[in-house]
Amino acid sequence: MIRKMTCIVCPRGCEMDVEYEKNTFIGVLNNFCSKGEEYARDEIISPKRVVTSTVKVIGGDLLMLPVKTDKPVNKEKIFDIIKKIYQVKVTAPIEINDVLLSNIDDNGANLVATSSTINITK
Amino acid sequence: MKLIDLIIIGGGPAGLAAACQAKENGINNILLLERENVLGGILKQCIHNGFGLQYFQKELTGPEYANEFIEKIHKLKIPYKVNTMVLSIQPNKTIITSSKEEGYVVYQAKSIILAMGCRERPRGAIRIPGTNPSGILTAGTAQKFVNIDGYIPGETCVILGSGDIGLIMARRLTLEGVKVKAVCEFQPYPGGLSRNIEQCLIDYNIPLMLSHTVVAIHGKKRVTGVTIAKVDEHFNIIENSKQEIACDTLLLSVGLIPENELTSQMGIKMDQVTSGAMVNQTLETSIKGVFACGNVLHVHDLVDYVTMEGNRAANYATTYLNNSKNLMKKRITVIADKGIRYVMPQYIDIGEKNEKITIYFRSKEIYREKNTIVKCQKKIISRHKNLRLMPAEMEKILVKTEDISGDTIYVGVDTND
Repeated sequence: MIRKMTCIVCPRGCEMDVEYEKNTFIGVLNNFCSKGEEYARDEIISPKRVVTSTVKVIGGDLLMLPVKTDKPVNKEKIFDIIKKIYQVKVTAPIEINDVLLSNIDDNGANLVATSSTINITK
Repeated sequence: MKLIDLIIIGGGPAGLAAACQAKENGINNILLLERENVLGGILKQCIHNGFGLQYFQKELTGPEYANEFIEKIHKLKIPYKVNTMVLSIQPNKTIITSSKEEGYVVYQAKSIILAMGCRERPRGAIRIPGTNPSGILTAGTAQKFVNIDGYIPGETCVILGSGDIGLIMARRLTLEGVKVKAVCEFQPYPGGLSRNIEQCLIDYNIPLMLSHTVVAIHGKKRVTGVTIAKVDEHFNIIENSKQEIACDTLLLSVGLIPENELTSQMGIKMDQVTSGAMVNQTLETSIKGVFACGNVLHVHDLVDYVTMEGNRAANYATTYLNNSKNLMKKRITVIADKGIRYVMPQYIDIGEKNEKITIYFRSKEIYREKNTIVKCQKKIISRHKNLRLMPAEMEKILVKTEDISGDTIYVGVDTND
């Protein structure tokens, strides 16, 4: 079967034709670069996304700390991961890239801070 | 009055890039002015990923992207002032500022880079009839509430306009437990990038209703619902297509306007279509030594392109400060012709040296497999094949100054082939 797919890797947004059979990736056309093929393969076998959100900060110059998963995670797990993110509360100071929750998707992705925040209570 | 070689107005992505680049070019007497309490501009609230692929060749979130430059500002020891509002700029480059810490301070700049960014079009700009309850926000305001302040603006939501911020907020609100019932787009095509349609709407089964608009808002104290309707190809409302959607929040993502009050007040010539200054290929406005870059000049699709333009503005300001200008012999006007909404730069100043010039443009509608052409005196001097031209995506075409004759060139879509 052939499916139209918009690549989300970069803003170019290639409109690709992806050939597949059930969960087996066969090939791709109209992709500008090799990242498109990688994305199309993942999209057929098991779609993945980076999840971004915020967590509460105690004592920081920020009220909410922006966070992300340091790897793309399985698309079906997004809402489970968001639930776990809701539970996280951190105390300032936090440095950018600090791991806040390891292995959040049970597949090796960690929740990391995407900004630093200093402690303003000291 | 303090004398400064280069004053940059705005500490968002354009201003940050310009400041770093100017310093690296050897300009030491720089000052960066920012009205908010921290540097970074709108990137701070854009917590999603997808930034930096073009400029850094890696995927970053907004705060991470800003951090790359803020760290550099500190490392290069570039002077900056936050909580500082520029009240006015005079044509002689006198800048009047006000801040809580220092009060009223006046600077005299040798050159200025305008990098004030843009703001969102509000409800008033699109004149939706109905009541005026709470619960009507621009998408960016909602983004600030959720991502910076930690508030959810409502429980059920309709989004009008499919600009990128609206699409990003559709996903963000869905993840925060808000039911996003529909994204309505007046035009027959989406306003945002294709990748955002895919990863923000399709991933979460949020309906995108093209050729639809909100025709009434209901509710006294709080929004209780909106009436939406289909529009025909002339954008007239189709009466029998009206339907009411219950919701407590309406987000507007209906376009961005460059924030140019300072620019027009100082007498700089403005472009009615971009709402930004008219510039030549060195990003210089109609006042010598005043340059513009980023979303204050024209609204960009990607922050990466804003950064690149900030770097360019810094390079041209450096050339200006070093008096090493390519002397102007002739000014060429660049016109947006058939199928093209706007061009930037609006002028090309031909000097003694030949140059290759990149003209940026946006199309008026979607074209597939068409050539963009640049003509002067009925002769085609440049041609570029586009697989897909979309109003939502900025494109570019190259021209060589030695090919230009006459005093006007026209950028258009070749609809003959």
